[in-house]
This record gives sequence, C-alpha cells and structure tokens, in this order.
Amino acid sequence: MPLLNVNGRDFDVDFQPHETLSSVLRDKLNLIGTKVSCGEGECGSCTIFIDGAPTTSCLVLAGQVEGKAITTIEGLGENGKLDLVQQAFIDEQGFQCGYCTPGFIMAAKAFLEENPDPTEDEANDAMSGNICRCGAHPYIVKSVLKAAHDIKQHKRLVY
Amino acid sequence: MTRYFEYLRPKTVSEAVELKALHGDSAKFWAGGTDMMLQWKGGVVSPDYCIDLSYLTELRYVQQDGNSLRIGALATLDDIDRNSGLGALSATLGATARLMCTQQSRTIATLGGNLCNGSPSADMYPTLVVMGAVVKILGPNGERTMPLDEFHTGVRKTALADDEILVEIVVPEIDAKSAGHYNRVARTVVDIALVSSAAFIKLGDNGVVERAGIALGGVAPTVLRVVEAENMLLGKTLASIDEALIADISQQAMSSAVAITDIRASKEYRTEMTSVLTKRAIRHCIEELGGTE
Repeated sequence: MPLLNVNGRDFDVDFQPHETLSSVLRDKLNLIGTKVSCGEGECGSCTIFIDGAPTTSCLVLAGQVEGKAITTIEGLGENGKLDLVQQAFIDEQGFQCGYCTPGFIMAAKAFLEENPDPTEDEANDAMSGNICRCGAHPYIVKSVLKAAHDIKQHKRLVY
Repeated sequence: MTRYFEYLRPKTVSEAVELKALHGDSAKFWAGGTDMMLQWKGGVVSPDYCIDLSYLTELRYVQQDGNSLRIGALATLDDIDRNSGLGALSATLGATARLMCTQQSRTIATLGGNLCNGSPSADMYPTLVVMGAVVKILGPNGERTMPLDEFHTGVRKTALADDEILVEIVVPEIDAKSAGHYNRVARTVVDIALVSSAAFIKLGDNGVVERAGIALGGVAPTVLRVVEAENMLLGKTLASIDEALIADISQQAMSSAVAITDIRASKEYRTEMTSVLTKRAIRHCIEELGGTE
C-alpha cells in the first residue's frame, strides 16, 4: 500500500490512481481541515504544503506525493497550542463563515516564512491565490500583518 | 460510468519515453497536473495510462549556460519566478510566470506542461517565442530541436509525436543588450489570457535593432509570430522607433490576428486589444533599453 507522510506521521493509505490528494486527506485520513471549494485550483481552499511549498491539493494526484512531506492545517501549532498565524486570524476576525480559512492560513504561513515583514500591498498580493466568498479580505490582510508582527515579537522573546 | 487510468511512474526520462512509445496515444504524460487534472475531471481526456513525470527531478532546473538560459521541461512556474536574476531576459520570464494562475499552483505547474498543453492563450508561448527560444525533444531515436514557434501546431496540438517528450527549453543570448515584455488582458487574476502580446528587441553593437520579436496569444489557433511587424523594427535605432512607427507595427500585428468570439471576449475586442497590448509591449522594451519614450 502507498505510504504517505502527513504532518510528520507515516500512513499506509489505499487509494485509486486518479484520486486527488485533497480527497485522500479528507476521505481516507479524515483530515477535514483541508477544504475543497472550486476543485479547479482557483480558490486556494485546499492549500497544503508539499515539502514546505504551498500547493493546491485538489490538482495533485495522491500518488504524486509518495515520499514527500505533507503538512495540512492540522499540522500547524505545537503541544495543543495554535500557531501564531492561526491566533492572528482569530484576533483580527479574519474570516466570516470560516470555510476558506484553513487555505488562507496555510498560504499566509508560507508567505510569512519567506517575507517576515511584509507591506500591506505585499500581503494583499500574497493572498490573491485564495478566495473568500464572504468578502472578509480586508480582515484577512489585517490578520496576516498581525501575524507578522506577533511572529517577530515571539522571536524577540524566545531568542 | 467509472473512469479509471493506470498510474505509471518512470524513474528516468528514457524510461518515460519507453512507456510512451509502448502505450502511444492511450497514455498521457502528467506533470504538475494543473491542466491535466481539470481535463481529466471534465472528461476532456480519458487516458488508459497516466505517466507521472513529477518524480523526474533531472528535468527540473533553470540554469545559465554561457549566454543561454536552459530550462528543464519540469521546472515549475515558481522555479522560473525564483530564477528571475539570471540575466535580463529571465526577469521577463519571471514576470510572465507571476501573471499565471496562483502562487499555490505555480509551485506545481510546469513550463513544459504550459507549452505541451497547447492552449492558444498559454502565457509562456508569446514571451518565449519573441526571445527566439528553441525546444529540445527526446524520442526513441534520440534528440531533435526546433524553434518554439514551430512547436505549437494547433489548439491542444504540438509537434510532439506519440513517442516523444519535451525535455528542455533554451533561451539564447540572455546577456545581450536586449529587452522583452509580455502583457495580457484577463478577466480576473487567476483567469487565462483573453488576448496577449509580447515584444522583444535586441540591439547590435552599432545601436540598431539586430533581432526583434512580436508574438500574439489568444488570437489564433496557435501562438502567432508576426514576422512582418518584426521586420519593421530591424535596423532601426531606439530613437527612430517613434509613436508613429509603433502605431504602424501594432496595426500590422492587429491585421494578422484571426481572433474568435467565445465566452470570454468578442472577436472585435480581442482584435482591437492586440494593437493596444503590442504598443505597450514595444514601449516597455524601449524604456528598458534606455530609449526615450
């Protein structure tokens, strides 16, 4: 059976050759934090990391990630504590219905690792691969900027 | 009806060619999958065999080789974006890549896939065609090369035979005194281009245009190189490429367009925008080369 590494753990998973990574994560591994909205790679709801790179999992065959490290929204945070990006979305109310939120948080997490001190324009641009149908975009961008601030503060305290 | 394909994972490029030669058109190469998955889900393609290329890391590179840029067919759009610093022309390639789909799809979408999918509005075609890019193709009988503008032969059609694979795209003369620019009109950020245009100008040592490129996307079954428009730039100094000449060249480009009306735009709009986008592309090239605008 194929072996998938998800959030640091190996899983033996049985799937059909044409099954998408998003459906295997949701239906076979019960990791339903990854959402599927458009199923065409346009809305970003299904964003996960493959070897650290943000990827629309609805466009990937599950067979294409054998031997690679998958991270889903469930893999963020440590010891039961939310990741600072997740907490910032709560603090700034960066969502309304919440369906697109995991995808936005994954995209934001990847973005902030590359650009820890973004301008508002850069944050806007970085979030353009995700669609929020409730229209919470201004709050989402505020959340990203808050997260950037909190991560910097946290680093200062820890190191 | 349950649809199904058999999944094959070659470990080397030659193994991929062997598998394709064995299964012919009942097999499809599957790279990043950003086009293939949609076509599979939509029932546009129903291969019996999926030959997954995503493990062929030997074809995933963007590297400068002397005065050329060599891009492996499996380099992602994100790879191209991240290698925007390898000579002036790679910046134009990076800017084109950034216009395409979304960040989280650019990490899987490949350059080879964009070209082999053969869409008339594929963004990478005009940009690479004006630069004079050449493609390297591998088949059971070895390698062959051809100019990219001959590679695209129709809607969803390329010059690849059933048993061949695109392995590399080579952009020549990246360190010359040259500039390229691609621009397009699309409905939304993530949508495909309705119409697009790219221009390229290379100056010789004597300061006159030695090589020029004008190519259009979305206004013909294939990417459309407009040689007549290119010729109008040859031998000119930057200063002599004035607004009147730019207008004439754009008119020439527009008259080559054979646009159609579809759900995205009308024939008339596409044709008109061909001229607008070509003007902008030429102006950008001149500006980048330090000419007066």
